[in-house]
Amino acid sequence: VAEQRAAWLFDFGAGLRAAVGGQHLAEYLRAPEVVEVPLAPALARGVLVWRERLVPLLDLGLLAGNDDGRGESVGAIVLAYQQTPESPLEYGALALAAAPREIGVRDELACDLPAEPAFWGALAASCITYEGRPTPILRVRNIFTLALVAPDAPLRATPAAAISVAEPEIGANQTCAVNDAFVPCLEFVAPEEMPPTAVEPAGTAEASAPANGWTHVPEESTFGDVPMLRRATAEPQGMFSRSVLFYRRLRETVRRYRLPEPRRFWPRLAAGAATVLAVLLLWNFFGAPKETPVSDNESSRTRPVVNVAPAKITRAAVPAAPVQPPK
Amino acid sequence: MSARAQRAPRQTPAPVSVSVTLAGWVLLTMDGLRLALPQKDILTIELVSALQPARDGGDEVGWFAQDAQRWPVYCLDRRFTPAPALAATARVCVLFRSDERILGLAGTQVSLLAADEDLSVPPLPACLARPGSPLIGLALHRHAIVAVAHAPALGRHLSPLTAAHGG
Repeated sequence: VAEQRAAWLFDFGAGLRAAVGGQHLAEYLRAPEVVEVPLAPALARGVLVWRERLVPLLDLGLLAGNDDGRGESVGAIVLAYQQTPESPLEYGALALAAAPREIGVRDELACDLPAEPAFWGALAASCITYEGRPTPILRVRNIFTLALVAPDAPLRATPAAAISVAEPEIGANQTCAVNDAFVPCLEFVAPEEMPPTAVEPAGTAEASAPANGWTHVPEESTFGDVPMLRRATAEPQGMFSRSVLFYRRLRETVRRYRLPEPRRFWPRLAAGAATVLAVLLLWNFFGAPKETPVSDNESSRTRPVVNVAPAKITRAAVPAAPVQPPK
Repeated sequence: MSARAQRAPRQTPAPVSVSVTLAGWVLLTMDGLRLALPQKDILTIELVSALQPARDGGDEVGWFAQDAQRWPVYCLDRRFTPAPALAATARVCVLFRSDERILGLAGTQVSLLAADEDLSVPPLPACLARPGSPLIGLALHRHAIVAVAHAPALGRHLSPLTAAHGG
C-alpha cells in the first residue's frame, strides 16, 4: 500500500494552485491586516503581525503576473518552516483566494511539473495530479528564502536584473510525490511555548493514516486535526484562532497525561493495593502500640462530681413480678 | 605616605581623547511610513522652515545651508520613492552622513530611542529583500512596524554617488 500523507491545497487565484505538506500549516487568517513594505519585491504584499512577530506575506499570484487581485481582501495561510533541520522555526504567509483544503498525497499521483509558470521549478518538491490538474507540492522553505524573479520596477539606484533565480530542484519525470517535503519534522507549537526541540519522530504526525482508509484517494479528508478549519471562513478570525489553539492544546494535554491502557493499568493497581494491605497487617502485628496500662491506685482515679454512669442493673434490682393473690 | 610613593615621580595625566559612540535610533515618520536610522549617523535635526528652496531641478526638495555650505534635503513617499516636492505634513528634517556626504530627509515628526536595544531588528527576510534596497530590517515598536535603514545605502538611494552635492 502506497504511503499517503496529508497536504493542504492552496488556491492563489486565477487558476493558480499548489499544495504543501500538512506539517507546515500554522494558522489560516481570514482577513489579516497587511502592512506594505517599501521596496519589497513585486510578489510581496507586505508583512502582517502574527502573534507578536512580523511575518512576510507573499502572493504567488502576483508572481505569475496576476495583478488583478492586488488590494482585494484575501485570506492568508501562515506556514512554518526550517531553513536547516537544526535551525529554529520560521514563519511566512501566503495570500490565498480561498480557504485551504486538505487532500491526500501518495506516489501514485505523481506527475511531471508543468512548464508554466516557470517559478514552480524553484519552489516545487514534487507534483501530483489532483482533480485532473497538475498540482505542485511546494517546498515551503524555498518560498521564503529564495529571491524569485518578478516583474519588479527597477529600484532607483540599482537595476532589478541583479535578482537571480535558484536552480530548479525538481527534475523531469518525477515519480515520487511523497518526499522530503512531507517529512514530519514540524509539529506546530505556539511560539511562546515552543520547546527547543519541537521535532517528533516519523509516524507520530497526523499525516500517517491507516492504509486501508486511502483506497480511493485523492479526496478531502475530514479535518480531524484542525476541526475548526472548515468553518473558518464563516467565523471571525479571532474566534477561529483561539479555537484551533484550544483544540491543539487540549490534544497535547490529553496525549501528555493520557492514562495507561486498562490491561496495563489494573495489574499495577492491584499490586499496589496488595502491598499497602500487607504493610498495614505487618504494622498491626508488630508495630502497633499496646493498650495503655491503667493503675489500680484508688487515689489516682478521678472521682466524678456527678455520677452520670448508668446504674449497674443486677438481678436483685429488677423488681419482682407481682404476686397474685390466690383465688 | 609610603617611601615608595614618595620616590615615584608625579604622573602628569595624558590628554585623553574621548570618542563617544552614540547608541540608539532616530525614528522619522513620513507619509504613514516609520523609518529608523542609527543615531550615530545623524548630524542634526532641523525644521523644514529653515530650508532654502530647491532650484537645481534634482530630486531634492530643498537645501539646508550653514556656514557657506549647503546640503540637499529629500522627501520620500509611501513607496520610498523621492517625492518631487516637500510633503505638506513635513515639519522636520534629519541630516545624516552617507558615504562622506551629508544628506537630509524630511518627515512629519522625529522621536529618539536612547539605546540600541530599544529596537529589536531581525534581519529582513530574503523574500522581502531586493538588491539595492536601503532597508536592512523591519521592527515592531509600540505595535507599529518600523523600517530600519542603513544610512549609507539610504543616501545612495536618495542620491546616486555620481551626482555632485554640497559645498
